[in-house]
Order: sequence, then C-alpha cells, then structure tokens
Amino acid sequence: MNFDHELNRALARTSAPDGFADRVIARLGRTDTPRHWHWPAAPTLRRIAAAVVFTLALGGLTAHQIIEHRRTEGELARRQLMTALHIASAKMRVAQHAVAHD
Amino acid sequence: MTATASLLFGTMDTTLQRAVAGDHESFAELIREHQDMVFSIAWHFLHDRDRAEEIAQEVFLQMYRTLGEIESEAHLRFWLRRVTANRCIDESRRGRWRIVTLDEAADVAHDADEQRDPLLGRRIRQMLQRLPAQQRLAITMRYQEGLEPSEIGAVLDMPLNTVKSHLRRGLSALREWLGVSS
Amino acid sequence: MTRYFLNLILTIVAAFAIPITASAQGTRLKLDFPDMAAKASETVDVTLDGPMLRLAGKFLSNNDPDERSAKAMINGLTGIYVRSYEFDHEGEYDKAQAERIRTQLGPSWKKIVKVSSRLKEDVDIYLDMQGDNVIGLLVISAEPKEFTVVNIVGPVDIDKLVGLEGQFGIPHLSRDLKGKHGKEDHHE
Repeated sequence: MNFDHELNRALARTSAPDGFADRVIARLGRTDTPRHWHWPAAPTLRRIAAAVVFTLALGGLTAHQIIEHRRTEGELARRQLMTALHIASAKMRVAQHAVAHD
Repeated sequence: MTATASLLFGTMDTTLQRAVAGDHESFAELIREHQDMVFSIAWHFLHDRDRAEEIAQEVFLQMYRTLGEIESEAHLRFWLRRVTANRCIDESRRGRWRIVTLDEAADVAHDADEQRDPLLGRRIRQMLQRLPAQQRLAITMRYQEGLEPSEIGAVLDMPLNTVKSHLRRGLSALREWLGVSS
Repeated sequence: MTRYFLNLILTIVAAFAIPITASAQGTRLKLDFPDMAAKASETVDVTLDGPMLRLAGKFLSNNDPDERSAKAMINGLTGIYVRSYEFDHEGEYDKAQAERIRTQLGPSWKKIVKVSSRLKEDVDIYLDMQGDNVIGLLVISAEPKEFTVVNIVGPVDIDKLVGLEGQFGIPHLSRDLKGKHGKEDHHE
C-alpha cells in the first residue's frame, strides 16, 4: 500500500456545504462595516503627510536599525524557544502516551 | 509589505480587483472559488462539519474586512490558508473538540474517490484527530493542499526543520495507529 | 565567645550556601555531540541561556495561547538546551552517547519515566529534584534515525510543557507521575 497516496485520497479537498457562499454574504449584510480607509482626497494633504513621514523616517533611521537588529535577535530567540519547547513537549507526550497505555 | 507581497505573490486579477473595490458579487465569486479549500482545512482539522463551516465563514468575513491588504490571487490563497490554520488552532484550544467514532465518520459524506478502500480513508481522517494541532495542520497542508515543507513553514509560521519534524512525527504516529508498515 | 559563635555560624552558612544556591538553579548538562552533528542530515541546536531566554520572553505574544503559556513557563528558568539529530539511515549514531549524558547526573536526579521500544522510540525522562521541587529536566529520546536531548534548567512546569500543543484523550503526565512515585528511582 502506498501510504502517501492513501493520505492524498483521504485528505483530498471536500466540497463546502451547499449555499455556503450565500450564508457568508448574508452575514456580511448584517455586519457590513466600512473596511477600507482612504486617504483624504486633497493631494496637498497627501504631499504634506508624505513629507512628514519622509522626515521622520530619515531622522529615525539609526534608531530603527538598532531596534530592528534587536527585534531580529529577539524573533530568532523566540522561534528557537518555541522550537525547543515543542520538541520537549512532543517527547514528553510520547512518554505520556506510553504511560497512559501501560 | 505591499511591495514585498506583490513581489512574492504576483499581481491582482480582475475578480479580486473588483472585490477589493467593494463589489459583493465578485466577493461571492472569490468565496465560491476558495470555499472548498478553506472548509476542507477546517473539516480535516476538526472533523465536525458544523464547526468547520462556522470557522470557514469567519475566515471569509475576516477576509472581507482585510481585502485591501490582499495583493494577488496567490497572496489570497496564502492568507486564507494561514488564517484558517490560526482559527483552527484557536478553536482547538477552546477544548470543544471530540473524537468521532467510526460509525459517525461513516455518516459523513466525502467527495474523494474512495472506491478501493473507503474505510482506510475514514480511519486516516479519524486518526488525524489524535495528533497534536501543529502536526495535524502540517499533514493537512501537505496532503490536502500539496504544499512543500517550506511552503507549510511560511503558512504556519514555523522553521523548516520544525515542519519536517511535525510531518515525520505525525506520519509515524498515523502509521503506527493504522498498523501500516513504513 | 560571641565572636567565636558568630564565626562558626558564618562558616556553616558559607559551607551550605554555595551548594544550595547551585542546586536551586539546577544543573546545566554538557551536551556536545560533534560526531553526531557531522553525520546528521538535519540538526536542531538550541542554546538559550538566561539573557537569551529573557529576550525571547519579551517577543512572545500574549495573544497566542502557546506563546502565553511558554512565557509563563520560562519564568524562573535559567536555560533551555536542545540537541536533535536526524539521520538518513538507521544505526548511524552511537546509542552509547545517551550514556555519556547519564554519567553527568548526580544523586538529585531521578528517573521518572522510561519508555523502551525495541523498534521505535526509547524515551527517558529525568527530573532534578530539590525536595518536592523540580529544578531541572532531562529528556533523552533515541529513535532508529533520530537522537534528541532536551535539558531545561530551573523550575519546570511539566503540565504546561506537555500541554503546549493540546492532545485529548490522554491523562496528564504529572498525575501519572504522582501515581507512579513508588516506581521512580534515584539515578545512581
């Protein structure tokens, strides 16, 4: 038996229930809220905002780089931590499973 | 993010463009296009059609609220898989899940061609429920969606090695429970 | 006389203070397997000492239950070390490596669980105990194509660790451990 093939067949996509899209659209009607935030129409306002953002970005570049480095380091540590804990957890569960079926 | 997403996921097609512009019919078309994928991920994860539909509906409602951030069709698929996976994890943590018996599982209609050995397919889906959430999702993404481990890592926000480990452990457990030799 | 008594007290405190402090922090074990790393097709090598653990803790999300749980769990820990090696073929690593780790375990370490399977996964779990308190954890897992060691230094919450990814239908390990206390043995 080709187990991969059996998994492909067993876990093939299945059809969503009939009328699924209609039910979502109906809920949308009940909870419809403005979803897009638009820039104010006035082009001048946009240019001013862009200039402010540009100035702030330039001024904060160094600080950003330091923060970014720290963030990257922290993210890496976070991922390593979660990987470590998941491995530990999985191993503990193997033992747990064996104990439970002892 | 916007530019990066464009580079990674390509450009937007017209249905998506119209949906982003607020056209409900185009949005409905997008739902119909992706509903099987979203529903199936949730269904394989939960093995409960009502709750799978509930989650799938929530995913599409969330998609509607964040359509403006979607850059392309590929980005949309990625986004839907990721959000569905996250919602499944959230749902599993509410502690409402259950193991369906083989009898229950037999009542559930399934579209896949199961003429050769229908019972095995059902047992696989049932045994899948016994796996930890992350392993279940990794296997679903691999075998339902046909994603490569690196793609699964991107969707589930996991390092590649962790994905491989989840796949290996999950498949090993399934083989053991189903009495399938490796 | 008073001064002599004070000196005596200080000497006694000094004699006990270092071991107590050291053992309260648990023991970091030496986990170096250069031969395995060279042969392995995949390697996971995680070394998180105190400062890195605290940094990782700052980046854990409060919105993700797993990460929230992890944040609570690492509180008080001074190190997490994982070495996991995966091989393409069976028998590519020397199972005696596990023994090298066991020789580092002092009398405060207790073997809590030993799962032996001739063909599959052998898992040994040891706890470093100070009275009733867990101050360290060691997991050694040996599979035909994989070898994994986890060493956590500090007060480990086993329930939280096992519960990181929910799995139903299986009783809690800690409850089983309490039930099996009669079976536990001190590591020699």
